[in-house]
Amino acid sequence: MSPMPKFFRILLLAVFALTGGCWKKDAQVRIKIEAKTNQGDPVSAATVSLDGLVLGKTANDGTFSGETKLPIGARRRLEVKKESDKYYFAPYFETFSIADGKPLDLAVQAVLYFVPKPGLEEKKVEPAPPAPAAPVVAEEAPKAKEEDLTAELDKIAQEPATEETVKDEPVKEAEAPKEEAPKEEVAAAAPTPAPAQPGPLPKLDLTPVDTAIDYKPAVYPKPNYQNKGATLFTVHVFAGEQPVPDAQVLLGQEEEGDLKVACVTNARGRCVVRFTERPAGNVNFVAVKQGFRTKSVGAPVADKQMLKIDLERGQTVDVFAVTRAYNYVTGLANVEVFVNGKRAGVTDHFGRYSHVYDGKADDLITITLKSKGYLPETYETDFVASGPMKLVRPFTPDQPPSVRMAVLDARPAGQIDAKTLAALQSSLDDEIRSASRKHLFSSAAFKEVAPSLLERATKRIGRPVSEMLRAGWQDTDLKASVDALLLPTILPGTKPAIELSVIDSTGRVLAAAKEDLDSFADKASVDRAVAVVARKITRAFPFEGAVLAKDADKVTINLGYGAGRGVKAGDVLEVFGVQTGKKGLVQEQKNIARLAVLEVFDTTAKAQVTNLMPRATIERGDLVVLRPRRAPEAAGAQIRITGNLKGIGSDPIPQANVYFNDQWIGATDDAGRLYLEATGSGTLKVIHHGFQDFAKPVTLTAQSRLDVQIRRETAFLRVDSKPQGVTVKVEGSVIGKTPLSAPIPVPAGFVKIELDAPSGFKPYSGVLELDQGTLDLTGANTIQLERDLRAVAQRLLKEGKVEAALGAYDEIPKGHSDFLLGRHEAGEIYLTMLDQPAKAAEAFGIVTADEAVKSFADKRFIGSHVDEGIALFETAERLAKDQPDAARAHYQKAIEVLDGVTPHLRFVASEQYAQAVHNVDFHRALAKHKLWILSHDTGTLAETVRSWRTYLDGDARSLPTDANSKSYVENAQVYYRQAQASLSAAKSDVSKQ
Amino acid sequence: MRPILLLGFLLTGACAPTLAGQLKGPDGALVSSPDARVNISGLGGDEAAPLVVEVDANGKFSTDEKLAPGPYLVEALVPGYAPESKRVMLGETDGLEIQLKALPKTKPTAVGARADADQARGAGGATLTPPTL
Repeated sequence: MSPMPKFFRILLLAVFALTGGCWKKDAQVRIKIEAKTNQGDPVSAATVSLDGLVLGKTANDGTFSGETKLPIGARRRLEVKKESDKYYFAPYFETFSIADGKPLDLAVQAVLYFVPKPGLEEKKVEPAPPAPAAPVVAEEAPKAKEEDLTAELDKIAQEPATEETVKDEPVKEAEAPKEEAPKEEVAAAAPTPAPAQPGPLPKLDLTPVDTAIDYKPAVYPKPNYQNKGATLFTVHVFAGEQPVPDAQVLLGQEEEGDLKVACVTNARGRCVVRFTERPAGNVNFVAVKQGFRTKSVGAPVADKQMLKIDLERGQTVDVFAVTRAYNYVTGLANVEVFVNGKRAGVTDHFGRYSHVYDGKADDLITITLKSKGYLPETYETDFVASGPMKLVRPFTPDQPPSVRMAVLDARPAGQIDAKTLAALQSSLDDEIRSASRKHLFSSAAFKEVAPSLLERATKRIGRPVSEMLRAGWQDTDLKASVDALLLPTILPGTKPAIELSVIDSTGRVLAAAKEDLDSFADKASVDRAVAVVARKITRAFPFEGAVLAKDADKVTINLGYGAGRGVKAGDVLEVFGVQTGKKGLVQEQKNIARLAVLEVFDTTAKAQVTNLMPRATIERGDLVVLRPRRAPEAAGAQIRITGNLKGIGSDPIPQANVYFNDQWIGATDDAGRLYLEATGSGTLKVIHHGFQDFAKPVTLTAQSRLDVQIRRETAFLRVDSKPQGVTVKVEGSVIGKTPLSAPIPVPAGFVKIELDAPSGFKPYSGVLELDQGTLDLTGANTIQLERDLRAVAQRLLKEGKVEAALGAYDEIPKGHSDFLLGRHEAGEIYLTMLDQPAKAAEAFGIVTADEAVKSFADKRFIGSHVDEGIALFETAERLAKDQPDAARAHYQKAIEVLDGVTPHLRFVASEQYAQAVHNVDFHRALAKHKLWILSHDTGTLAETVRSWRTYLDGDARSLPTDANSKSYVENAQVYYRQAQASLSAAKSDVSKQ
Repeated sequence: MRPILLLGFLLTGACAPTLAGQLKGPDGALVSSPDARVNISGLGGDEAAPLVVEVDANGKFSTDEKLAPGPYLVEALVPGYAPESKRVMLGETDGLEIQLKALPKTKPTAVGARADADQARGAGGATLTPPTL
């Protein structure tokens, strides 16, 4: 202590006496640590820290010594922690407090319990971790042998020993890509044969979100300007006298209401924009370049003219509010933009508002957008100012948009002389138009596009109508004004008829109706045809709407029975939610969920969320698209193929391959049908495995309807089983009882064989590939029936004999087809009925150790991974009181298991999906929480807070409303508040220091 | 004069009162859990960071640090009980008691295995490669 005047000492003494414990004083503390594993081996390079402050690392012999000064009174926490790639070491900690100012000698034997990390035993030689305080010392992995370890573990934790080793890499999952659903046009119009899947067993993808609606993310401004045409216009972008190269020039035309990237300036600051025809009125040009303020200039366009845009140096935040209707994106005008809470301006006709940013780089900017008549009403985001700042945000109209449909002039199919045609059309077109107004355009669902507008738009895109009907107009500017076309076709002849088809912008025929006509002036028939097509189209159009409200797993949407949309209970809709893009600012709409309509009102409907993607949340304003309720009909010839599939009668044959003139033209659908585009004369061949080839010369016209019967090939089968006397069915038909030693004729190809089960045995079913000839399933190939031990166990369980049921499950031998199911079900009993989580973890562990289950290839057992995680967590809970170190290792393993299964949860049965996500996220968060309580580590705490937020923001809301689930959520709230408050307390401690 | 200032500080600021209380369960039952925490946040000034204190075996809690007088929000966060909070004025908190309502005990729900997924059947509806002619 430094010398000080005597009276000060007296004063201090007096103060000390008065205030008691309030005076703080430091004491010298010497710390000596000997770190060992629970097997007695020294632990090198373990981090020693005091109240979170790193003091140093242990040496090769596991020892550490250090000295520090500590204030008297407060509780102190000493921690020895070891990180390793191969093992989990439970950190060791000790709390102590310093009673007086005397130097303190602290000698600590730190015992670190360890368990091998699952699945990583043979992964890699771990590198020595860098040691900041001490020189780097080579690290020795614990010398423990596997047997010793497992024995030790059994003693401390009754945890299953995982003995399997992992090959170099985890097996990659062969799953259908999530984002890219097969494109509808491709599937409907020109099917390409999919290659047969290689490998032994196709992977089961049980809950695919396969959308029939192809929604690409809205890229805005659009990159697809076709810089073509005879009118040339040059844009010069300059900053004062200096040309600005590489500036993007965006183009906005009043009529389309969207911005497209027209061109990029060259080294001289110039770029050329071409137009197919000279645009009327002003065209909006926007120059964008990083480092300059975005600027917009409106100018008239004429051939060989130019425009100069003068840019100022600086920075703008470019906000683009967009909306999409039937897959066409336009800018959204009059959206109010607030920057850091202050109103800055509104978006222009093209949805753009550029805010001049003169703040510092790396400042946080908050942008708020307020829309009128669109959802969501308010959107807020914040981001750090740096680089190009472009915010693209989609909004959905609060009233569902109408389908804009143009009625084309009637055209004849086949030859008809010009005079008759002219006479026909003039009267017929009027009839069709007035009938359409009556049946179609009287509802809000459809809106008529004036013929003059269609004419002008088609002229501008330079694509003939016939081409549009074939290939659609999705990628052209016509999409800005037309969503669908109504095409009347006159079928002349002795018995004239009219056919009406509705074609969407991808060229698909969504609905068609045909009516015979008494004469071409037959008003009633035209009216009838239009009425039929109107009714059909209501069932076939992918109407769009928006999510109005969400309550747990139910949502209200703004589509209902009325307004011509005819939504019915059971209809299915896809939800496209806004997900922030990777770069943070661009918002993408992605297919995040599916809805099943429960209740329908006039303009709204209530629907159940069925397939929510993990981590996605449905919000007000998300786009919903009604799935067409039946397959769209194609124009042209139709072929229907039937055959003797099940041994009797005539069934439609799906997946039969059809060739026309030796060219593959498609395979039949589930109804045995194929719509053909091909016309003309040639040879039609139908080939299907197990059936005799069919070939016949035919002449195909658009009206051809062909019915083809194909004949099954015959193969022979001999079957025996153990035990014998069992009924054998092939393709659902009984062929006899085993032993069937004489060959029985059966259909060839892929056939399903089923053996009934005698009491106590499991029925057998399998798929055989039969060629001509005899397949012998006798002798060495005899089908061995398995004893149905699982049924025994399930019966016992139903009778309440839990122990006996467990015994029956234990009897299922390894290698039995029910072995894993049996282990899983036993695990469920231990976990949920007997409250023996360690036993449960062992049972689930056996399931998840199976090669196919471990690699998540076997989708039946995704639940086992989840349950194993929970069982490990619950085991840790039991251990926490008396064996905190063992508990810690279990919490960590639980987190690892739950993290591992997270990407695979979508394969859980849909009715259990919400529960599974809840189970994973809740227990992961709580395991982290408990680890934090045990370790007082701020990093763990921050992770805990994040995990709780994930749980409470996401899945807690989609849980069922039973008392147990509610209790989980309320407990989560308690834990979350604890963790959140502790985190902010910890943060303020750090900032005070 | 620094020593005098120091004296004054020690007498007033540093030894201001602590905030203490007890948690009571339904029917006055004892509430104690190693995971229980009480969250104390000042409502008076701008002290943003709350204080989180542990609860002893008798359901009692107390702040280690001395607190400035003023209003505080005391929030009892005990797993198994619904969160409950009380507003108190420091200095008038003798015998602060917080009544808690127990939540139904949580019971883990297992996620089932899918016995329905027939492994032998494959993906179904797969288009096989058409035989070449």
